[in-house]
Amino acid sequence: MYAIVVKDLAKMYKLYNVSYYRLLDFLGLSRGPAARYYDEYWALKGVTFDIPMGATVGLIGRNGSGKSTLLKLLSGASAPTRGEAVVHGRVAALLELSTGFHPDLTGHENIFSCGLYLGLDRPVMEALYDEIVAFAELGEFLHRPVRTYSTGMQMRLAFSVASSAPADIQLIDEVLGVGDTYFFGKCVQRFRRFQQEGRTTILVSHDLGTILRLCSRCLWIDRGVLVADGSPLEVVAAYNQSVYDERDRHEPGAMGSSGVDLGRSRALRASNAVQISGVEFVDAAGVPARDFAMDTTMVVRVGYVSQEVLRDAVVAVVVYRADNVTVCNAISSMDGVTLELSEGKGAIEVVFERLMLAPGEYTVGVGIYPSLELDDTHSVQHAAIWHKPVSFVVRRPVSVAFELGVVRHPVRWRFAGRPSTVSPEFFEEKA
Amino acid sequence: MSCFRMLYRHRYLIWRLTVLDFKVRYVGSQLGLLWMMAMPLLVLGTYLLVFGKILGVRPDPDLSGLDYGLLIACGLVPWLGFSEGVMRGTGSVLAQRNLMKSTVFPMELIPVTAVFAGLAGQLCGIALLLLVLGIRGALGLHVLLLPLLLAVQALFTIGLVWFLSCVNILYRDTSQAIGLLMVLLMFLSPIAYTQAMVPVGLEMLVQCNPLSYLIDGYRQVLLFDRLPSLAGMAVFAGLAVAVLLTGHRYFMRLRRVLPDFV
Repeated sequence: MYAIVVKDLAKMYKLYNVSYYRLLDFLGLSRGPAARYYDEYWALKGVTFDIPMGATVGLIGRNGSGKSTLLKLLSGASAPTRGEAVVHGRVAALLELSTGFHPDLTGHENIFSCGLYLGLDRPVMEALYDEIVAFAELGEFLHRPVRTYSTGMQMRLAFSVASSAPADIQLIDEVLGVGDTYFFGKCVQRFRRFQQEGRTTILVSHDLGTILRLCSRCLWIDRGVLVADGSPLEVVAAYNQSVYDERDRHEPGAMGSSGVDLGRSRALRASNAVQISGVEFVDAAGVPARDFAMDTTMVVRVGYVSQEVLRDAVVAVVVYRADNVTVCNAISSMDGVTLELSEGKGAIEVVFERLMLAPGEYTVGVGIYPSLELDDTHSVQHAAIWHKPVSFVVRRPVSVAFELGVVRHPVRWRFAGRPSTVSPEFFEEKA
Repeated sequence: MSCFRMLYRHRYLIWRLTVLDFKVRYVGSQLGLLWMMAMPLLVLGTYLLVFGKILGVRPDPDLSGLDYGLLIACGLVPWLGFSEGVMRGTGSVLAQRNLMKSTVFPMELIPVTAVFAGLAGQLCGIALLLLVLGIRGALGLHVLLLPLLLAVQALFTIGLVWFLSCVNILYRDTSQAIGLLMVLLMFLSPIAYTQAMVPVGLEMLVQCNPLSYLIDGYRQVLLFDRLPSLAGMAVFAGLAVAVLLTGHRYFMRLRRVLPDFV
């Protein structure tokens, strides 16, 4: 059963060059057979997809790519020019949060007035009231005018009200990123609850980590066209790649100052001196694999093609968790290893003995730098950087039922002794 | 007739929104609702001074100053309610454009709310008028027709504002033009004078102005305890319904595309 079915959805905005053309156009007055009053701007150029009930789908794309237009069409706030969007169920659109806020009214009054705009009667709002207030955490400010609130407080109240409306489908546009970390955490919690309740969600965010963390599927829209639809990891990686490529086209050779940072956020140019031909994961026996158990050996094999002999090359491998957290860096020079890359094709292996990563899905970024000095901009400029989507999975041990965090750090256990050997204050009850 | 059904269905929401409109307007001001009385009283005073004293206008030579004042007030109060509704209503949808962009809120209620907020001021004025007339013992049973007059006026204004608020989004100069037009219309409407005082040759000016029928209706009912002219009321009521239906049709046709222009 689908919650949202979108078929060839297109939206054209009319751009009028002269202000009264708009009126003339609407009055139905013709400007003659050849002339038109407006220029066409196609914000969406025919998008087709469907979303099953209960799914959480991320929507990414650069500014002006048509994400917000798509959400407006889905919410019914705007009408499509062509095609159709069929939505089964009640939609809650968290697009512009502070809609309907009156700065001179108190938070308490605004809760009820926003309720009106959401189509919720007073009795319904009264039932939701306690939860809204608890979530917004305004304290004594609840009974003060909203204009006295900090931006964060306003956003908390707005998100709290907007997200409390009962709905089957929710459309969220870039609103999770407004608060501080604590509030973000609360939003995510609430968001998870909605997921469990079976709400269908479309989430627009520029924070790709959020997409990876919350979504089970990702759509990528570019210039009004759906260019990718698939697992978040693949789509986000492809999106990143396109952003890098784009930036490379605009500023060739642009790079960051810190050479060790292979982060996806930094665009580094692949050089001609050395290129990475491929990256794969192999097990202890040298057989390519994608699945690894904890404590076994995982090897990252990096294939390269070099135009010259590189005597003191540096190879770096960064491991990212699926939600974009950088888990660890392996940098050959930091480990005191000197690698001499021969001319032509070759491969380097980075061996992760006794894999300590917690169960989950991971990707890697790989860089080969022609010389040792990572701060040397020349070296960084001519580095080969590889960040195409290849992932490996660490399996959960059968005996463990809970999350293991990011890594399983090696530890030792021992008895510390009695109060006579450990400082006695340690055992005193703290007030 | 779908617009009557719509208005009825959303009656609770319209009521709450009107109250909210009011609250927002006067929250934070010290004198609050007193301001609502200040405007009609000020205009009334000016009218009396200019027309009654300086120009010495009288519809009837025997009419006392107070009676002339009441005559003006009976025209002025509904006029102010109408013009306030039209001016607020014309800009209302644009002012609340955020609602349109992000929610599926029934936008057609926004101009309606603006009209009712304008009518609320008129109700205060009418209450004051009734008080004065009551003290003078001039009130009769025909006052019971007031709700009918108010209803017809509301329908007329709502229809007008549905149309104007759309046009204002497409062409933003509309609200400026309306402001000017209202000033003009205020003097062209028989507020400080009656239809009978208009010189021969200019009667068309009053006869073509639908508001003169409305103002005359209020005057007959409040001041003279008489039935308003049935022909005049029939013309105005017919016009009100026609304007309402056309305005509604126009608004509903445009409401799907309006978000693209705000």
